[in-house]
Amino acid sequence: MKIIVLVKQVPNTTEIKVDPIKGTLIRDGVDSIINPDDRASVECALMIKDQFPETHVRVLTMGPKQAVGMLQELYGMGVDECSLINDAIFAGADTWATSLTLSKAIALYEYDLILAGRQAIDGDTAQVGPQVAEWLDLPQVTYVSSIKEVTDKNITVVKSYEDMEEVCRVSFPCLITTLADQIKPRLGNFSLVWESNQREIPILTSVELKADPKEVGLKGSLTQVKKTFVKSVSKKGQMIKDDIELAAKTIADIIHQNNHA
Amino acid sequence: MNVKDIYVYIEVREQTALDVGFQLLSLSQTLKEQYAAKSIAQDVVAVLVGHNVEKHIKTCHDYGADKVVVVDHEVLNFPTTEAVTHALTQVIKTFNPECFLIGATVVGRDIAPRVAARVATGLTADATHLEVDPADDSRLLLMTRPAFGGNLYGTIICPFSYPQMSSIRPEVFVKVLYERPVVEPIRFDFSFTPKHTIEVLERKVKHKEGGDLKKAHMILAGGRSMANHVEKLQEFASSINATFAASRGLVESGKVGKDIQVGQTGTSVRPALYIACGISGAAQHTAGMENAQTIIAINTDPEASIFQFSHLGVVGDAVEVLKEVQKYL
Ligand SMILES: Cc1cc2nc3c(=O)[nH]c(=O)nc-3n(C[C@H](O)[C@H](O)[C@H](O)COP(=O)(O)OP(=O)(O)OC[C@H]3O[C@@H](n4cnc5c(N)ncnc54)[C@H](O)[C@@H]3O)c2cc1C
Ligand SMILES: Cc1cc2nc3c(=O)[nH]c(=O)nc-3n(C[C@H](O)[C@H](O)[C@H](O)COP(=O)(O)OP(=O)(O)OC[C@H]3O[C@@H](n4cnc5c(N)ncnc54)[C@H](O)[C@@H]3O)c2cc1C
Repeated sequence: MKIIVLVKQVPNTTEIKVDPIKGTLIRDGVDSIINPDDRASVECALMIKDQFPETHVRVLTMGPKQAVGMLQELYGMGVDECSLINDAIFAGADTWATSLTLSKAIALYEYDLILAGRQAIDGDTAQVGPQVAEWLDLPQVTYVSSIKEVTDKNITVVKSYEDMEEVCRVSFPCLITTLADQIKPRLGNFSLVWESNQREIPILTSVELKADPKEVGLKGSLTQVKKTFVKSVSKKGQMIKDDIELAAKTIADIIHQNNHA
Repeated sequence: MNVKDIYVYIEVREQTALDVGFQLLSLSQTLKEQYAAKSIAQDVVAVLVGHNVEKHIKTCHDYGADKVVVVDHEVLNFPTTEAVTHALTQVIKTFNPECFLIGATVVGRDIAPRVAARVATGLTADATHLEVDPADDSRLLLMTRPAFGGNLYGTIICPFSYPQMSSIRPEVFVKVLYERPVVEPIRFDFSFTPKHTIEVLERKVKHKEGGDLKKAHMILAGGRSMANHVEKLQEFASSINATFAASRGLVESGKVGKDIQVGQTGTSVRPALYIACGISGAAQHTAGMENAQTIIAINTDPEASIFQFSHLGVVGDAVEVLKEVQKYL
């Protein structure tokens, strides 16, 4: 079986702080990590490989050259091959242009299953997976919390809704987006990481992808970010310190008002 | 191309229409007014997709629809990716809407990207604020949304393609009783040959602790630091008729289930009162509760970010403070 996993390197957004005076994000010192939902995707691919050892797992990532470090970490987890999609003209893409570029890279290879994360923690759109499926005309199952069964023809997964779980079976080829919550990714194997240092990581540019500069990157995007801002970080409400009685009376009063509203 | 009107997808799952659709119809009435102020006439159109959906037509008008397009077919009884994508794409190609809004439910976020790609337009994800561009001659929607886990906001526009599309989270906007007159619906001729085979083997309701968070009038939520006091908090919550909820920190402690998590990857809530006990106030948490009418935060750290969201902030040990509150109830 041939699996392609889409993985994005992202800043650790839980560490990001806001500069209250300049009103910008402080990115210095924030490490880059593998997007959590994508780690779950990689784990799913490797679980399938555990079951069917002849499975080939390929990771594709689009991003800056520094993403090579992340790819080495993924070799350490046990993936077979990684490629970096990198070209100045790919930068600034919205999800339409991102998914088109990824689809062109995917089309270079054979696949039965494409795995992606449900959502990247920086862009936060959750749109890239379904749009890749649309470009490739594949069936999709999004919000997958676990995999139940894999055969050589199809995959059975648990899809998580707000208030419900669905077990469904989809034939290959297809695309699945995974949730990080219930899938615990394995740790990297240090000797595999070390070996991967010697491995050349192929770079796919607009030449390999035969991408028209008008349809990728900022130029090929249909949405534009008109402006960005951080929320004002002013203290909003009343504060009570060192007077537990006053605090308790005030809280009790608010509860009473709400219970009689 | 002649584009016109604001369309809203009304998601129906097995005959139940989801509230977010009605919330977006009401929002669209506000956008319609903003367009009208620029002498651009728009109607608000509900796209009611499902099977046996007749009973929801009046509700659509009640919450702001001027017109209703009905797409009724048995394959739409439960909204699947392929069928709903096909239905919405056909509706868009037939009517050329200026704007198209979709509730960011699991279903909405599954289909909206495919619909946008198929009709070749841009899509804004999870907008929390929409307005019509005040600049002269502009018909653009300014769609503002959180990114970077809620730390950064971006205003997105879709200047070259139609419709201007956005998904919008449930409970961000409230539904308003506009009571628009009921008119004869437009019945859409839906023909569809499925190509993708996805076989549903089972659907089962998730196990729920502590009632329905979305409908809760009052919520008392605990954070990671409350892991050893969960029972006390639950008792307190039930004594004041509040529903108990948790931050991801507390869920990660293993003491409570994921189904009561509030936040970006949990449930978004807007209760009348939200009491946050020992919750630091990470952007991913506040994204799901900042719309509560009144927020009380209790935290030992006077610098905790949760105090930037609270109407009343109490610096202290949450268990001690609640014990004291009990005396005055
Ligand atoms: C503030 C801000 C707001 C934005 N808002 C929008 C918007 O509303 N609409 C819009 O179209 N674009 C928007 N963008 C642009 C968007 O962030 C980029 O297109 C980004 O490349 C992909 O979106 P995402 O990060 O949301 O990915 P998601 O769609 O959340 O990612 C889902 C999955 O797709 C895969 N994937 C995504 N990117 C890559 C990659 N580079 N390489 C490999 N796999 C990948 C991963 O498996 C990932 O888990 C915004 C950008 C900013 C800075
Ligand atoms: C992709 C992603 C999605 C996420 N989604 C969510 C989500 O949906 N919901 C969510 O909640 N989080 C989410 N998170 C996690 C989020 O970033 C925070 O890590 C989490 O909210 C922290 O939980 P907490 O406030 O309970 O714990 P902590 O941050 O550990 O805070 C504990 C707080 O308790 C206070 N405290 C300690 N002792 C006491 C005491 N005795 N009395 C009172 N206060 C005390 C401390 O001062 C501290 O402020 C997400 C993260 C990521 C990366």
